[in-house]
Amino acid sequence: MSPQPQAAVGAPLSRVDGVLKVTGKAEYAAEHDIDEVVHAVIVDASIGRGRITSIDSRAAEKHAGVVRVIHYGNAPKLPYRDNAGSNNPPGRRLRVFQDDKVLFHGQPVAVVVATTLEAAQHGASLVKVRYDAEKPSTDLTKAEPGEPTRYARGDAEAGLRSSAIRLDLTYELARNHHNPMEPHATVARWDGNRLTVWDKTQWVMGTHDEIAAVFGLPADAVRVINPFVGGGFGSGLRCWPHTIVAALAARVTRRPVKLVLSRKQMYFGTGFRPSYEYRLRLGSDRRGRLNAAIHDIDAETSSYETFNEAVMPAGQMLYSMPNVRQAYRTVPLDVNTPIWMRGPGFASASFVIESAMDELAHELGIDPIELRRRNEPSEDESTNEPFSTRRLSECYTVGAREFGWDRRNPKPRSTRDGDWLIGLGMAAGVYDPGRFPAQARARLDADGTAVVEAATSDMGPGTYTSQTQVAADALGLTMRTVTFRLGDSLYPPTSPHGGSATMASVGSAVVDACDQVRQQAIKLAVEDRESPLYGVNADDVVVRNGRLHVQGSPARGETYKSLLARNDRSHLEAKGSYNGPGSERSAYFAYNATFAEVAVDANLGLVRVRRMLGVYDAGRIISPKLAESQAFGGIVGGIGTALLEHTVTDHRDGRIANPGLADYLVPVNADVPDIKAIYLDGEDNAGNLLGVKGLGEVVQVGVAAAIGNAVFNATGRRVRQLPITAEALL
Amino acid sequence: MHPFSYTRASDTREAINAGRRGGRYIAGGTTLVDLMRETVEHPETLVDISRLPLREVTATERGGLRIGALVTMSEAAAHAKVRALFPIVSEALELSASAQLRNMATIGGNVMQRTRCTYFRDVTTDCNKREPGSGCAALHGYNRTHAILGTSNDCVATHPSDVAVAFAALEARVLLQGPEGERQLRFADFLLRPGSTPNREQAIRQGELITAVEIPALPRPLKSGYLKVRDRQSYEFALTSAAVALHIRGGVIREAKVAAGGVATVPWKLSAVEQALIGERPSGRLWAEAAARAADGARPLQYNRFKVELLKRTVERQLRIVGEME
Amino acid sequence: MSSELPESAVPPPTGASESTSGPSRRTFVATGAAVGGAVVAGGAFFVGSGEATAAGVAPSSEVSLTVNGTRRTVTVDNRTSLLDLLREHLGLTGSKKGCNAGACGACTVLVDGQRVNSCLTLAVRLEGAEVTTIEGLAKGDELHPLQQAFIDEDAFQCGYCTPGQILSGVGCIQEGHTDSPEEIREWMSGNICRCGCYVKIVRAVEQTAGRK
Repeated sequence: MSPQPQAAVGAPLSRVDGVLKVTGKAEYAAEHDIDEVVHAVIVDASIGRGRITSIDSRAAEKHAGVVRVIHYGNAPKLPYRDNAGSNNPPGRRLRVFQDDKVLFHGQPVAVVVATTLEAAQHGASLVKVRYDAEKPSTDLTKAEPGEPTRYARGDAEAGLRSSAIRLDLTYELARNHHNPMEPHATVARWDGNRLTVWDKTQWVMGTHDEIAAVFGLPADAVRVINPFVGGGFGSGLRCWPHTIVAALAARVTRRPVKLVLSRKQMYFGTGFRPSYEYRLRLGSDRRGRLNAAIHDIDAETSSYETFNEAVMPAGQMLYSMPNVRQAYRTVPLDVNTPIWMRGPGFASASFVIESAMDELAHELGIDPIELRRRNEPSEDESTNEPFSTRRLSECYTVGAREFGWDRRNPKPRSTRDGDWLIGLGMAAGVYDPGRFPAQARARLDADGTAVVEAATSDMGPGTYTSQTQVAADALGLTMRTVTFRLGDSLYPPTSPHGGSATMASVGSAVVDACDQVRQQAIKLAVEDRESPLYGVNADDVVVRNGRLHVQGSPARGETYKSLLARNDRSHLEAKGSYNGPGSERSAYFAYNATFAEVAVDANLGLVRVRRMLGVYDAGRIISPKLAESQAFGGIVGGIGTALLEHTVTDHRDGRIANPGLADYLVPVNADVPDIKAIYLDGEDNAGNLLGVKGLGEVVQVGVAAAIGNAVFNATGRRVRQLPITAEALL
Repeated sequence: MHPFSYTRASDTREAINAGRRGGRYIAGGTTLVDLMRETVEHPETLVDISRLPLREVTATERGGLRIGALVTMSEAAAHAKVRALFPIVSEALELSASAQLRNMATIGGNVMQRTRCTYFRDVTTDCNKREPGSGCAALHGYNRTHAILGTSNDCVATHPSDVAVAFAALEARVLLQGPEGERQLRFADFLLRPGSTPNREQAIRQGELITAVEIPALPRPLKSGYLKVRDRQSYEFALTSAAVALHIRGGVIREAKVAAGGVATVPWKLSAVEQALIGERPSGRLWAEAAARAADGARPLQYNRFKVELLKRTVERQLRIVGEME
Repeated sequence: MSSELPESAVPPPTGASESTSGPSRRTFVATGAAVGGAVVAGGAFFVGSGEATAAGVAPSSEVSLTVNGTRRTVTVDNRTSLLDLLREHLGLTGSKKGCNAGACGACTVLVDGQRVNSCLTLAVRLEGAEVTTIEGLAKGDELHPLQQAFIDEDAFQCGYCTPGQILSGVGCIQEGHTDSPEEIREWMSGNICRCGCYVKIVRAVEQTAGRK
């Protein structure tokens, strides 16, 4: 942190954009009022694989209000320049309306543009597309996997053979969809050769770069704007095909085009957390010291791109053991490409590892927390790097105390409340938070207010608020006098708003920019004969509430306002940057211990969460009120993964069988009774001056396992499939 | 959504005239508008009946209850007479949908509610209910939420209503008014099993309008309750449900009204369970023995096998809960 | 505005200066004007005769309703939902479209004082109705107590479900379903919050109800 006093950082403040959000004035992607906008609705492929043989758009074109029907037969050819950035995975990305091939069920095959939304929707239902259909391959367990990514240390086979206790467990994790409440949407407008896009994205720069690459435009011809994102959880980390469709439709029709995906289209128009089949073999001695683990991991990807996520690291570094072998294979299927979803990779791996640890604890008759303590590593055994900070053990201690872990009866099926069996479970969580290059700009105006800008996003965690807190302290201003702006590709570039990277990355750039501005002001003052601070050592000057003064002598000083006025300066400005962790050599991870109490009506197969607790080692907490909300959200997401969420594919033709919020179940209010979140005090300065570790991802990691382990404690039944539903418990 | 013309009926006669000419009635619209948007339904004319005078809840002689077709689900649930006479109806209603939907949806519309079958709702699949003769994609598809009772090879779609299960248990009657006058149908005769004509869901004639649902008087005291089993705690259709009403006098069950939901193509009256109860003394064993009959004739599918056992347990649980009520 | 041609093969959308590379605007028109079947690149395309004709005009109706205290008379396509009327025609985008199927509650507004899903409400049916949206809840700069409670409790993150939650909460309080957190949870379950703010939403509703 800068030498500045901290007033805003660490204070439990309300959101700076709160009034906008509770009055309906926050404008999301589809809500910008663009003159002359027309509506576009995509026609989805109704086969899972094959080619289009004919498209009949006559009826659609006859419908009043329909302006144009665009498909591969009449769409302009697009350059689709290579773009390894923008989070495009290796492969050949889907090219909208460029050929007759259908790669997955629901792929866009046409778009109808009309002057009203009703006409566009009806028009889309009137387009008749004929296909030459093939049987798609969509079943993870029946398709041919690709080449594995491997990791090994020691000799896992031999280690396993020599272990006194051996477990061989296979887990199946369902596909999950992010389902942010705001559907993905794009408004595209061409002004001559320049394109402006209002788009639901977690990364305006990524979308900017992708659009430029697809349309073959120079970078400065594209602008992407997105001040508010109605949830993301990862679904906005890539530029999806519909964004290109909207821009293409706008180009062809010469009108600004608004395109909003239907909730159904969200299930194939954007990515998802892939389903997994994960076999884990675990060997330990009789005292619970782990000796070997073999991880065989299969996950979905699409036929045209290879999607990878960090499903391997947890198995390498969470627990100490000499022998590890991992093989992670992606299985190409006739589906659209997955994308990271909250706690990506780690959340999936943790369900397996943490369930298995619970199984081992039960097998050995050791308390699950004690078993974890016995395997606590002293360094990251995959890199032999020291941990920057690792306070997982403290998370256990605090969590056990706060949750009343000592009241847990280790014998399953021993606690009853009427028809309900009660169980307690816990799990550890870990996440590798991102630290990516970012820039920011700060400007202090003559009236003593400041504007700080960066091309980041706020999908809900509260970037507006937390960056304002950081900026206010670095500038020595109050929250009210600082405005933080984001969501515009014209602002200084940043990396994606995801991976728990935003505070460490953008926040560091913001501090850098604000420090520079403050130092410019201090320099101006100490060199200004008319300033009360003239001649003072610059290092001895701090700024508080917009007033510069000598540290320890608040009487001697003056305000930014008077300083700038006297010096005839309209503003001071600086660009700050953060270049990533650099040569930092330490294992930087965020941790949690998550606890769950569930009630299971074993007779009816019902699981109801009664209370949950998360204890987090996430470094410095900039904005405690908002951090608590994030933790609650991660836990609620984990409840969904554990008990409800399951995107079902009908393997006969590759269609999603439950594409809607009445059928793809996410937790509702009544599913979530009581949650508590505790962040351990502290900081981790590895590679970032703010001392943060990021927390948006780690809060969901381990939640599903804690619930599954509680279900076991309640019932004695181990369910190795997610979600845990009545079928498994009857 | 296909274009349609719209008229608002100011009285019942006007509505029936418009209905006879092919107009589709709309009351709460929570099912119809949704299905029109999916282009599953595409009426040419909507006849808005929401302003007809069918909003009364009245106690009939001897303790029955008549609920006007346009009483909303929330009004019916909260109504003092409903709560006093047939609290099971309130319970079933309040376990349905959401507060917002219950403010919109009506009793008549709820009875006319259409299935949530994912294939029925997707016009690019085969569905005999939507398009007679096209086939049933659900039969060998993802059919976890589908029916195990009352199905045919042509349709396995579940009737989604909760309150209709209570109505079926209580042997309610549907009051109809049409071009040829008024008539009443027993609930069991009103909602049709799919057979080979799953497109025909109700025994309703062109132009006929539901005016009310009438629950006949039952001997008192009457203990009753509705149990709904579902994955999440609220805002979800039933995996299974059970409506149970018992009249116990002198320690003997004199009257038993039992029906199940979430498991059948129509609200499923459990006559065999009722017969097993009547004349018997309440006991844990009785509940189990009677409930063992609940899934008689069940025809499970690939993904809904669990419902056979779940149904029996749901019924047993609710028999016990109601049977042991003070 | 740049006067340079794009590097793209895509034609610029303004007609005056056509790019010399790539298909010209005329290509589109020609394609669009081809009547009947045309085989292009191995596929068959059946296209209409250019711009839409009046043949498929959708029926519309005039409706007078009151929105946030202001009487409005509008002509609506019969297919238009109240939600789309608010968002696309009246510029009131505070009501949100989350699922457009009555399965999420983001579109919740009050119609004649009752909370309903505006996505399943056809606008044409609202003759004489009084609609209250999130834009009509505050009195000038003074927030409705529930709006303030949402801010104080941090009962939202992304904010997209928030207007619906607040309107639903207003309804819940009016209906009197706020006797316990458990009751609030059940009666607020028609509003999905994917950010998972339920615990705080319940607190905000409870607090506001208690103040009444």
